[in-house]
Amino acid sequence: MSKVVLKGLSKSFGEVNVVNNIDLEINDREFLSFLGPSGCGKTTTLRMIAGFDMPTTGEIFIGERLVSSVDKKIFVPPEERNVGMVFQNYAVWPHMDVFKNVAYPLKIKKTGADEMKERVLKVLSMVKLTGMEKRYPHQLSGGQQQRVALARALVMEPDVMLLDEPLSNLDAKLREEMRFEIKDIQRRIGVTIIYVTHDQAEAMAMSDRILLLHNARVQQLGTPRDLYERPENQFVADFIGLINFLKIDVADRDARTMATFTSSPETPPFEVNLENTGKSSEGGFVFAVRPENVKLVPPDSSSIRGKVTKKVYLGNILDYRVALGKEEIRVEASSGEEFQPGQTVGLRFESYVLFK
Amino acid sequence: MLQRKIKADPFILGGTFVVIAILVVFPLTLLFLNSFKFDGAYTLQNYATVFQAKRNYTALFNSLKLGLFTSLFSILLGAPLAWLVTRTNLPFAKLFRTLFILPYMIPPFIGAIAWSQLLNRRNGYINRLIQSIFGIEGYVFNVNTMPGLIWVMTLYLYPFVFITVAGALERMDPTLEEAARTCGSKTMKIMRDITLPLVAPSIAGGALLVFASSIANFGIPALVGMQGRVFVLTTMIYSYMHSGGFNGIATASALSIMLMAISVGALLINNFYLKKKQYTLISGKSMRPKTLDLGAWKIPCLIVAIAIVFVAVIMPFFSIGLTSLLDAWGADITWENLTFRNYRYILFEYKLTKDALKNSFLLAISAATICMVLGSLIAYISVKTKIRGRKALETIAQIPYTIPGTVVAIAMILAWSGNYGVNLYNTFWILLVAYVAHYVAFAVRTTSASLEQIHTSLEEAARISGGSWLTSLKDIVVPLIRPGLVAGWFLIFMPTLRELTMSILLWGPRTVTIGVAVFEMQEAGYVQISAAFATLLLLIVIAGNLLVKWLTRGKVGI
Repeated sequence: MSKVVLKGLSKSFGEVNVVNNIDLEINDREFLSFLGPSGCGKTTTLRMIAGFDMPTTGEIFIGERLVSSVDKKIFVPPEERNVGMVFQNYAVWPHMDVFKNVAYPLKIKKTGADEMKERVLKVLSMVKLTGMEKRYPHQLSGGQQQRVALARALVMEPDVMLLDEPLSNLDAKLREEMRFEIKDIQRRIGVTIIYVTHDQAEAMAMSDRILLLHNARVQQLGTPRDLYERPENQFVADFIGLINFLKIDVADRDARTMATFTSSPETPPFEVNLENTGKSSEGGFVFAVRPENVKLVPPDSSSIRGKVTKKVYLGNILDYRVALGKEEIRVEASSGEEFQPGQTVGLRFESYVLFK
Repeated sequence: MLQRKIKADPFILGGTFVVIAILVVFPLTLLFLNSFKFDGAYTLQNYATVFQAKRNYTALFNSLKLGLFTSLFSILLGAPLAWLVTRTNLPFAKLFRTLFILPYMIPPFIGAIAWSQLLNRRNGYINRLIQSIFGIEGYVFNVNTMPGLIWVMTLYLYPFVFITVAGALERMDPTLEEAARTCGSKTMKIMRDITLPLVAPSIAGGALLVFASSIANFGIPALVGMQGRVFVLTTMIYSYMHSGGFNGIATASALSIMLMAISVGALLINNFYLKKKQYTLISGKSMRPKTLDLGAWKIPCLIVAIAIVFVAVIMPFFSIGLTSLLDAWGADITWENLTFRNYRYILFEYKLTKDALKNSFLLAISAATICMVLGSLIAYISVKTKIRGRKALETIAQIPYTIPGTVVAIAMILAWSGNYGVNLYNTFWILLVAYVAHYVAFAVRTTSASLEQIHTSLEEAARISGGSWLTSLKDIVVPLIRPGLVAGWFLIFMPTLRELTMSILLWGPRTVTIGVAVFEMQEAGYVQISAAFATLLLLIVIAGNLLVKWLTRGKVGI
């Protein structure tokens, strides 16, 4: 079990930068996800850690060992890195039965027959495939094949496990079940896991920390809570969950920082906190607020007013669209007074983020 | 994945590039240069010589004539038969489908021998039959003419059109025709307006294959044409090589370049133009198109189908088999005149045929094995790696198969006759090198088709499990493509066993092959023993085909 360190890691194919200068330290026994839309460089980064792609610049350490360095001309091939990997399409060998698939890494290491059998049966019980040893992949369901792939990665007792969108080919229900199982296995054996996904819910549910990537660059590194509640830029805010973006103009008045919505200057100014933006207190900002952080109240003279345009009942919440000047925002209400389309309402922002 | 510490793989992979350069690029470049070389200088003299002599442009003209008429008759024979077996309720359609493809399996020179026996002007079986029935003197048919050549060639090449058209008719999206029916079209009108235009590219594609194969063919024009002084490019090149001399080789080179240009041209049209159009037919669904009820035409169609099988398959087989049992050729066929002596002679007594069997088996086994190793590496590089130049490697490896065997043989003579330090002339090795160069394309094609089925992650999973590149090749890739490798091996073994076109130019006193032996015996007039040897070869070919079919569970073979 060990940590993984990436230093100034980049990868380009010709002119195209796929991964741009990533610095990252993954702690021992941590569950870290690479999250981002397709083409963001998450899979390439994982493949560089595995040793299937060679970095253009930078270094990779697994544990204390330098496994890849462009400057020092070091490149340890995948088979010598002692990492386990689970592939998106499972990559279970069709010509071998379950036992042979899982035993393969041990066979390469020339493990004795008795020990091999014991270890294979142990991981098969861990992934709930006991009794399936003699089955061939075509006799297994997608979920079972995925468990074989997982067992094959676990059996070698790797320093690090790399999982490349392992659940994306499974149906929704099975996917949720597997999330918990993977997490559970990690807790029991304490392996470091790097998990690639484009599904934010998956990343939120499983990860200790998430590395959010976009356009080959790191957008934010933090806990799921950090990313949701304290996004560092508009991309992060937009990618994780739902959010409304509104342009505001900020000015100092009587030692207070007051804002008005650019698209509806007639709304009364309201006080904002600029601390976390680190910007000067004048000029235009983007005001970002999540739908559940907007409260609809009966309007009074001092409140910011909007007009309800749509209302959808979703069981646990009411999903409103509210016109605010020329713009429309989304509001999710789980309690409080219910409003009808056409009604004028007062808006209260309970938590928000500002971006320059 | 391959950019890593120096180990075995850079040598193996780099070596493949070197081998292909030596095997293909070097000889073909020499051939091209040599066609311009006259008395030590580079000029257009050889091409001028080619066009000065009447016999040369007669040969060129004859090749084109043979190619065009064979293509035309192949369409007229192959396309309707394809329609009959795929789209109508012809009885025994499946059996007929196999029977119609059968001539494709027979080595063309054996067909040529059979038809020489049947239609030979002096004592051909059919001529004699007609003579005895109608009591006439002289002959009715003479196979040793241009029409005779076209007849024999068509009967052995029409399966190309049959196979491509039958494939297209089967894969055609039935909704295309059903849509026309909902528009109110009648069956015959649908055929004309929808079906025919849709399969037209496949018909043309099959015809171009026939064209390229017929002008590249040596056995039929050599055995049927040369006796009647009808020369085509391949036989003309052969006679230049026989008459010898440096300028003979130079003229042969110039003729080879022309032969190559024509046949490669035809194949390029097929690959770049027609192939694209053929794909639009495939719908991906595997619904079988509706078959037409022949009604009153059922019996006449059946009779025609039986007649074609009789003429294209049964008559030649019977003729060769009968001749192989004759004691004296030309005498009346009586029980006293039948014997197995010819078989005993070729198997146990005659040195030429015994050597030929030994050499050809050795050559075919070696060529198939080397081709599979080399071809798999090329396919692997092309499909599974990112090495620069991988697609060029694959393309270059496929070139020798697209050019006529005669041309490949001339190139090999130029490269390996001691002019460049290596003299393989008259040895086993020059035959092997030529076979490998010509047939490695088969190995590349079958293996790359299999490799494309294997997702890269299967190999990566082996690497991450701790296996090296060679380990993953051995444990994962090879076991998964094994059926493809076995099929590919036989696809090379079978044609190299009976190879004639290249062998006839490359054989030496100690390296006679089966094809050469049949040819030489036929030329020398040993009709019965050459028929016995041909029958033996046919039996081997049929057995081999059944074996491939069994090994690949019916995917390869007829």
